[in-house]
Amino acid sequence: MSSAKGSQSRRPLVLVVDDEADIVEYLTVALEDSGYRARGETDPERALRILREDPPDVLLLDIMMPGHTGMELYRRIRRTQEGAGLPILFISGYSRAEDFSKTGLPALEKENLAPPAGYLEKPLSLQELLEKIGALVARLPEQSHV
Amino acid sequence: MSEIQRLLHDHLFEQAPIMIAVLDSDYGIVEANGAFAQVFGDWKGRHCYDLMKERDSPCERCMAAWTFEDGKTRVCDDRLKMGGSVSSHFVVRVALLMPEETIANPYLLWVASNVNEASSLQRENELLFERVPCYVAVLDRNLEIVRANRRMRETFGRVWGRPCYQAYKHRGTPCSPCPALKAFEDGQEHSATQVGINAKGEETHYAVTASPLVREHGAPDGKVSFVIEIATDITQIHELEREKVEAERLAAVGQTVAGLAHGIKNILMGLEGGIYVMESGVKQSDMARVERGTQMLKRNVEKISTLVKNLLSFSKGKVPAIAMTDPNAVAREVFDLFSPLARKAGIDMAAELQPGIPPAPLDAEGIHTCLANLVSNAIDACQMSEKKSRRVTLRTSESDGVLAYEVVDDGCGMDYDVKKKIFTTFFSTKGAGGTGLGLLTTRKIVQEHGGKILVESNPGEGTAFRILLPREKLPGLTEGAANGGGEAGPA
Repeated sequence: MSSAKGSQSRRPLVLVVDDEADIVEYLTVALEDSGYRARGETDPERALRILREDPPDVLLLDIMMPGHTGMELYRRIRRTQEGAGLPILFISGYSRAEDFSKTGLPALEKENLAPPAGYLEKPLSLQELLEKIGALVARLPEQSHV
Repeated sequence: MSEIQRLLHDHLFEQAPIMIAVLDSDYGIVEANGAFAQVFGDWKGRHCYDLMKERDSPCERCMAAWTFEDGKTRVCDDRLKMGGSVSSHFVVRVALLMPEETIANPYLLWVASNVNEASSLQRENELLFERVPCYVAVLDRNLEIVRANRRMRETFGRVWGRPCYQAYKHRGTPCSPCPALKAFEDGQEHSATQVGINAKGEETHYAVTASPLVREHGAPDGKVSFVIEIATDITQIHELEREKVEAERLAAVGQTVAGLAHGIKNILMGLEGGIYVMESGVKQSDMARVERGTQMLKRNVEKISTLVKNLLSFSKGKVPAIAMTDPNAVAREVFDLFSPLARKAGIDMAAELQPGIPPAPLDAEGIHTCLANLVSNAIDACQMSEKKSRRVTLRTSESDGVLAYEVVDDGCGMDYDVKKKIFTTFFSTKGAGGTGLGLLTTRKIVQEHGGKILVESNPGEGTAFRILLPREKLPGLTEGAANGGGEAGPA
């Protein structure tokens, strides 16, 4: 992404990871329309590669991806240098209570892994999403965004 | 007197298997045979009443006294002591024994046989036949009911003299297969599970065993003359099984409404996304973006429509139409349907169909749905795998009366968590691309055929699904169902 260097590189990067290509497309278009740089990925392995090569400022992650890969991916990200303190927003088609029981979220603390920065339920309100991302970006160190 | 008559005269008294005694007019026992002594013990110097009745004086209603009086032969049954404290049931015959020269001093011939054993056995058998909580009937070679027990009469009404198929099933011809006919043919025992109609017109399910009734001499041609049918009513069990299946189905539906909602939410978001991307394209006069948005809308509308169709076909509980079907023809149809799709995805697809499998009573459409679901899953699993050469094989075979369909892939395989969920819920590993209904529907159809579905899978190695259909458990033909499964010719 050499062309994205320069003025674009100062715009915060949001990475969207969901197994549904349409949702990835929707959110990346909407984020770009709102002034963010956005990348999307449906495959967990490729998402980890992006994380290393082009670390995002915020990660949107579907935690109920097939075969619990969302939660697995979350743990793997948290164990990387780039991902340990990354603001991660969960998105899920289940209600929050169901997700907590299904994914074993409370176990994160015992594993010394940082909790997610927020939680959004599908179908999500774009306004709410942008507000949450805006709030997270505002807390980032000054040099990474305008 | 001939030599033979003399020998008989000498030996018959001692060796006859009945008890014989000679009484004088005081009821004293003057002579008795071996069988008598064996049963009643030492008789010498005893009277009949003290030996066999333990009395001090003659009985009040004494047959011997009457016979002494009028000379008539009498027969009666009586309980007599057999030595020790055991008594038994005897048939006794008394007659005057009058040697020509001692008319004034007659003796009485007392003959008895022990009928206790035979009569109680007969009573027990009668009781067993009548009261056993099963249907019991004896059929002759025309399948006419010559004897039926109480339970049978109570449930099926007046069945005596009617052919069994008419009495229990209101049919005009014998059932197929008929265990009684088989028993008449080969003299062996045969069992079957059948559905009859009781006197109230209700369905009655029963498991019946037909056994040849072998009489000592049998029919002159050596054939079985009668068959006894013993049947257990399994209507309640059948009902419970049906309720259990229904409860499991409802539980699966209830538990997984959330899973379904998850799928719907994803589709809904895809629709919202389509609208957003399209509008965004319009605002920016970006026709490529408008097109992408339109495609998203189309895709997600299609997903909703597939979901609804599957949901309806699953919940409707469609009654399978069972017809004699060529098992290979159904497999071939599915193979022909999916092989172009597999080829496009770079997957080898092979059909290995065992030749000569005889037609079977199947719901061709249902089996087609099962195989299509499994093959479609196998192709998806191959697409999720990163292997270079990928293969899906569809097999048919039959051995030991079990018809088998097999769909094997060397795709991504499943781990334990996935395997244990695949049949129980609206579980899908395909995101909104799958409804989670395919395997649930497949299992339901297989169960309706009396079969089972097995899965073997290892992550990264592939998956094999096996549908096993024992012929003896296959359902009966649906009245009026057209022959299925490509009977018209090769697919």
